[in-house]
Amino acid sequence: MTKRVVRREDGRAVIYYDFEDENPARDAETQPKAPQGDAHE
Amino acid sequence: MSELRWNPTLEQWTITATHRQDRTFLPPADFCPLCPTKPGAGAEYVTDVSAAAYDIAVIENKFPSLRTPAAEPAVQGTDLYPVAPSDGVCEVVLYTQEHNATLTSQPVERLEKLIRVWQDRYADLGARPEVDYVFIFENKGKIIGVTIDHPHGQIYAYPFIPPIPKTEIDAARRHHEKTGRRLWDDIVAEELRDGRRIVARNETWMAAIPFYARYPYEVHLFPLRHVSRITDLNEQERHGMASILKAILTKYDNLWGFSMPYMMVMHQAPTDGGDYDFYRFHVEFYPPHRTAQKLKYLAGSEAGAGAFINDTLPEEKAAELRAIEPVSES
Repeated sequence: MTKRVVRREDGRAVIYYDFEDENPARDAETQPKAPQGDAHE
Repeated sequence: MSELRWNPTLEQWTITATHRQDRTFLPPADFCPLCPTKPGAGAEYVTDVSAAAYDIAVIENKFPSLRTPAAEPAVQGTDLYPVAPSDGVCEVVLYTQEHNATLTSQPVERLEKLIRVWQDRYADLGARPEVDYVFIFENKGKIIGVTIDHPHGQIYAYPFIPPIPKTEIDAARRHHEKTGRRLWDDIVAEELRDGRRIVARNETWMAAIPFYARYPYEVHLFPLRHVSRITDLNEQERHGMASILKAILTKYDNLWGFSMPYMMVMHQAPTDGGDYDFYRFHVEFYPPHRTAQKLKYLAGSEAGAGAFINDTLPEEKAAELRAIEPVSES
């Protein structure tokens, strides 16, 4: 399991968990970019 | 504005969080803030989650009840009414990118991954000095008060031990001091001995509507080995937890043929540095339905007196759930 922590512009963290051994295709994906975002609960 | 206000009559904290009045409320699927941002989306359609390729994601809540550093309290405390900063963390756990999925529809393999994420969050959040208790939970269904349909759970990292876990911990401590045995060792042994309230069981976990259930379909999941926290689970026990979660969730949905609303909560050892070896990690479900058409409301006796009236017998409801095949399409 790997996790990538991305800090949004509003300061909130987003943690993306990947299970690369189970999903090798994910290795080829680009790294996430910090979005502007909107609300959630 | 957000702070902790001490209730001297119940000896517990109330959290104020006035900014939550404005949080997102049941947006249509095309505007779901928890779906990955669509390729080429304009700035007004950028969501909280940008990476289209991920297994599970965790986001800090945009409208947190607890946050470090905490906001300035709205009022000053007094000797009678102490006020404390609402330090802590509130996170949202995205189970999947699929908007119309549910926890129930996830295959066992994904549930195992989710358990690993829960373990990571418990360890990470529990290591923070301001966090005394990590509470993992899910509210499912509009009648529970869910404001976003996208399948997700939540984690609250409190700067104190909340009242219900504290009551359980204090009871378990007294039981241990009195008998020399762990309370949940005795509960699991009693449920296994009696057998009538067991709903499902595998090599490492069991599910039962316990003797003392308050809701008609209140299933508790217990690890058969004593562990105090989710991080103590080994690989086999993670698989066992995922399997029994899948079985119970599927039974719930198959009971009346619709997606069962529920609250799912995890009780485990606090993270305040204390010794809680006498306390066992477990999961509790509170579905609000008492029949397909009728709800169990928390009315006068429950809300005002704290005395639950269960209109059913756990032995009968457990038999009902036990008889339902945990068959699903996933």
